[in-house]
Amino acid sequence: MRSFFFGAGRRLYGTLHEARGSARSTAVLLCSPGVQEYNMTHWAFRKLAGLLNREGLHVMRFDYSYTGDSDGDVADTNLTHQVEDIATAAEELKDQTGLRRVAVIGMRLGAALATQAVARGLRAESLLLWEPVFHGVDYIHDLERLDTEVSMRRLHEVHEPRLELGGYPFPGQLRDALAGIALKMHVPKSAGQVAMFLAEESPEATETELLWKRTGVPTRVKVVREQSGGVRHGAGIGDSAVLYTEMLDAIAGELAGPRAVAA
Amino acid sequence: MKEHAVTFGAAGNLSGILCEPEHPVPGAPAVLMWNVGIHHRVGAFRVWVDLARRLAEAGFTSLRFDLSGMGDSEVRRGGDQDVERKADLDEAMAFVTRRTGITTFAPVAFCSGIDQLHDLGLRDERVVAMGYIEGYAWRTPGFWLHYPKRYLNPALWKERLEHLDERQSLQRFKRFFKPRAALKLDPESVEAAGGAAMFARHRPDQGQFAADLRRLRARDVKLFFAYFGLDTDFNHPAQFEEMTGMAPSDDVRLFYLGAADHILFRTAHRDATVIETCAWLKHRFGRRATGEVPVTAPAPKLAVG
Repeated sequence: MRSFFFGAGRRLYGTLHEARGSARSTAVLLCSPGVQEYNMTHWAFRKLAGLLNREGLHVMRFDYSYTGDSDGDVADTNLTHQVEDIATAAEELKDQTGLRRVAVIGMRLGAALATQAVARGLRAESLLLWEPVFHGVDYIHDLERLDTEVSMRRLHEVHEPRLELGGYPFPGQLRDALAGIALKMHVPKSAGQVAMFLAEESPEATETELLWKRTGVPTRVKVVREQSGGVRHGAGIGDSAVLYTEMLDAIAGELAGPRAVAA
Repeated sequence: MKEHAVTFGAAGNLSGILCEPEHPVPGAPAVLMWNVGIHHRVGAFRVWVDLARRLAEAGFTSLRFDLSGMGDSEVRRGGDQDVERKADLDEAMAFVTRRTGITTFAPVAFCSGIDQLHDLGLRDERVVAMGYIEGYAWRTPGFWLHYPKRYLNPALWKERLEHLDERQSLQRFKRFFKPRAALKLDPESVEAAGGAAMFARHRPDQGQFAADLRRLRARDVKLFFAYFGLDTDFNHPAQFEEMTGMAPSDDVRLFYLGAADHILFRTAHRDATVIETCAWLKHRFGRRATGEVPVTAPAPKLAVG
């Protein structure tokens, strides 16, 4: 595991997990969820990187601008910048590994942002969307519900309008930008294939699959039942961690096909 | 401010961010920060990033890092967890000294990180200041006198009823994050994550803690305590002296935010804590203008929410 800052202008923090043994010819970029869900999935992403390494894949995680150790304050979050960050990170991954082919895995908001990056021209051999945000409005409602839960548990009052969510600033311009997300409208034309990984069947996924297929993008939906884990330690945003087993195995397995070792 | 992604430790297994100021304060200690609970080194709601960058503006160098097996740090092979944690902190200090020349330290910890902080301060004389954020607390008679106030907020009860439907519908959202009552880790999962695993805690009893603080003060270690009153075991400023027998002073600074919760879920409370922690360090070690007389000790600040 090797960590570094990269990017011109906004400095981004990245971590490269190098494959064990002979590497495949495709490297993998992991796009984490939005900041409210980031800390509790950090461990799961690290585990996923380890599983992919075992399959001979180089993997890079990174922090979007305004999150983690990257530049910027959460209050200034700009989704357009974060979509650009994905393209920047993909280039960095290519430079770090010497590989030209990249697969992209995004979770929740990260899946929506990765889809936008691929729709704007980022070439991805595979685009794997893990519980993607289909509609920004629903995502905001999810965050509001979770915010209420934690607020109540922590004995806080909830004030409307909510200028923070999940423990982070949530300014109006971010709310507006998120509300405008409609996953299916961003057809990831530069993806060799798309697979959506969900814990349950979803009409939005089916609708998106059909629409993207009609535009010529090979798209599949995979439902993965998390039998043994997907464990959340604690019960709220910011003070918990999520662990997965079957879902991570399924995602890693998707990229684990026959090896085409890099020259 | 310059931030560097660094790898250090005898085995090269530890990962962190060294944050250096443009204009360092001569002789100031380096601030150390590490994991809060199971969060990686950015801390709950990125609090350590905010603190490190504010400290750099004030001239302080800091290292925020992941303990072995957590966040981006690799597991340390061999030895029990207590030994590992001591080695992690020793290697962090050695790295900072080698890289910057700074030989004294002001570790700041939050919640479960207090365990390592307290042990470090007691055993290592390079530690000249310590910040305990939501550290050890014991319920005193004064705590129980104040306790009912916690639930005497009509707005809170009204909201609980208003949001009942919303809380019930949370279950739909939780499918993304499948909760379970007990945490199960299969060995393969742990191994795949590079050995990252859960942690165990060790804390002194109340009498031992009070004695330990006296030891630290006998060494003239400057102490800072931040306590939050909303959902915790600490609910009024006088509880500190009730617990420890030690009155707040300029050398034992107490910052109390009655309206804040244990994890600093509200940004205003987080910002206030970051500002106050930084102000404490600036007051104790900060830059003084040429010829300036050292600042007279202010009264301990009590921000009661």
